[in-house]
Amino acid sequence: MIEINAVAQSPSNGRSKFLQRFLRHRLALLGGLVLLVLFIACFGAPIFAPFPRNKQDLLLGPVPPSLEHLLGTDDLGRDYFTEILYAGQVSLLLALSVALISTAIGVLVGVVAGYKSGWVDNLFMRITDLFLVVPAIALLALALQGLGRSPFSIVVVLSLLGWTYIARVVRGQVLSLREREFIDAARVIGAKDRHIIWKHVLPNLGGVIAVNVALAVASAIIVESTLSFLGFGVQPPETSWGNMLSQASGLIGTSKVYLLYFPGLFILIAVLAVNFVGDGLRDALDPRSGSGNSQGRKRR
Amino acid sequence: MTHDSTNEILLEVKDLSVFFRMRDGEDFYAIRNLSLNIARGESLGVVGESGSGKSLTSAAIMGLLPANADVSGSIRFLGEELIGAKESELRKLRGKRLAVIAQDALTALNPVQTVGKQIAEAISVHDNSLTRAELRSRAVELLDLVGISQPETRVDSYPHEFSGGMRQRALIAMSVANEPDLIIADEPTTALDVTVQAQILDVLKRIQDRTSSSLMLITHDLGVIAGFANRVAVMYSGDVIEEGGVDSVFYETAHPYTRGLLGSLPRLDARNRSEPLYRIPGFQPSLAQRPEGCSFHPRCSIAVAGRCDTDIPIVHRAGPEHVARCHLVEDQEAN
Repeated sequence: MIEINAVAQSPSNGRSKFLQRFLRHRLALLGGLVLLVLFIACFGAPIFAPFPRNKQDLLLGPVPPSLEHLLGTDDLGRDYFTEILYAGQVSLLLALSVALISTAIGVLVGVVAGYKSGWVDNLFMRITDLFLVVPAIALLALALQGLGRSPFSIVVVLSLLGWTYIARVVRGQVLSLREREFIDAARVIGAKDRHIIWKHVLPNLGGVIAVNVALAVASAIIVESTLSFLGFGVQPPETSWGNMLSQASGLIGTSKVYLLYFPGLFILIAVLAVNFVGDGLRDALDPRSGSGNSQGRKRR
Repeated sequence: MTHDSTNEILLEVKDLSVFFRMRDGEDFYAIRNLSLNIARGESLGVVGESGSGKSLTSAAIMGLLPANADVSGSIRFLGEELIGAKESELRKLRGKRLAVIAQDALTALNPVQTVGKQIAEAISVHDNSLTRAELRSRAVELLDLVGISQPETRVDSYPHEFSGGMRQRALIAMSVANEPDLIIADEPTTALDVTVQAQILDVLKRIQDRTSSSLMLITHDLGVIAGFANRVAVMYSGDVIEEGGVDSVFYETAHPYTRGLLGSLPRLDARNRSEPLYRIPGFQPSLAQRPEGCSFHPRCSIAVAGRCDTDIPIVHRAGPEHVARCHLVEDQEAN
């Protein structure tokens, strides 16, 4: 019975299988859609925003959400929804670049350390430890003071500080992968180290990397908010969700507290969406999960 | 298939020793002065208990010993010395002229890559002139060769979609992809059930006939050797203690250890079935604390005091193309 099933289900090629598995993951699909909408809305803000950027209406002042101003207006009478969309450009771009760059650095360090082992491993891991023990916020503040507080320097600094976690995780994974027989088998057929790393080690790290990118996006948005909150982040007139949050922080307990909630809500939505996508990617990258293995599940 | 008339020596291992340096200072020889030859087209069976150094011998031939191992002696393959050879030279041989079929089919395949790609990889690593389509069709051919049905669809399957026997077949396909001169099969059937074992051995035999490769079959199944190999080498405690044609080793056994091994096999024609199976008394010694003299003497029923427990035996001729490392073989000859 099982055999018949397996044969009938003619295995299609790897890429479409990957897509199939991802699409089966409902939450990931939803997360992906939300992210897509967020991206289109933020980067298409000149088209989609109901008002031009920074258009003040001092006579109007702050009003709560209404049909005309979906998320209300701030003290200067600017439409808050418009502001949030524009701020999203900085926040999303910044978070994504930090996540990708720091993951790339971390994976590189982790793979080299884990695969080479010995003194290379020791050196790389001690450097990693060094980065880990430095109080991050203080270093960030100091570095941004020196580099200027442009979104670009924030990306650089956050990436340079954010790779340590993934480096350690990847190293651990590689240490165990290295002892797996299929790595020996690759060596036995005469493959070079570089080939083994690209074809056998990295593909097996796909899940870990996907999850880490998702987590890193989330944490970058949050760290950027923290920095902005402390006054070291994106500087006005440039806006990000984080610094909108910090600007509104004094409004707790007043009637204008909605100005605090909305940027927070957007951060929450973006972070959740990215996490769901990361989850879906991890499952999709593992050929043993989801479709093509319905028999495996039944057996269990 | 009997001996090739040319009898060209393909692999010549001479006085191979593998010495492990341990952190706690308990250094030991895992392989001591091992010698064996494999001629072109021949099947050599290597038997021995777990820990007798069978797999280590194959790792030494492939040049893939752990970092804390010191090798000495000589391994000549196709006239080239492998010990001390450059890594880049060894890499050219591995998978191309010298192939290994891994012990555990369940873990020797990359779980996130299709079987077809992994077979194609064995080819493309040595020859990157082939297109993707050519590689794919080669992989299909190879899967067909090792007896996997519907190879055109199976080539896109992932390892977890294969049964144990199919994975072992896929591994065989990988190892024979470049028609190597020597295939080292390290217990290729231990992880499989008996019917599948027979099929796998059949596949190996067919491929060997077709490509006229030599085969070094490492196993602890004497039955497999009897049915499959031309010659057999019996290993004990890191050394070959008896070597010769299968018939002469099995029927004119010279070494008491081999006799013990053969005697401990269950037999269908046993007269008294309620009698417990014969077992060789004692255990294989720890490699770190090999006994003086012949390492088998503490378990040997015919050991001679003052000789077997002091002198390491040299190799004695027990018959035409049949040697044994035992003091008492010499005595038999002297009679």
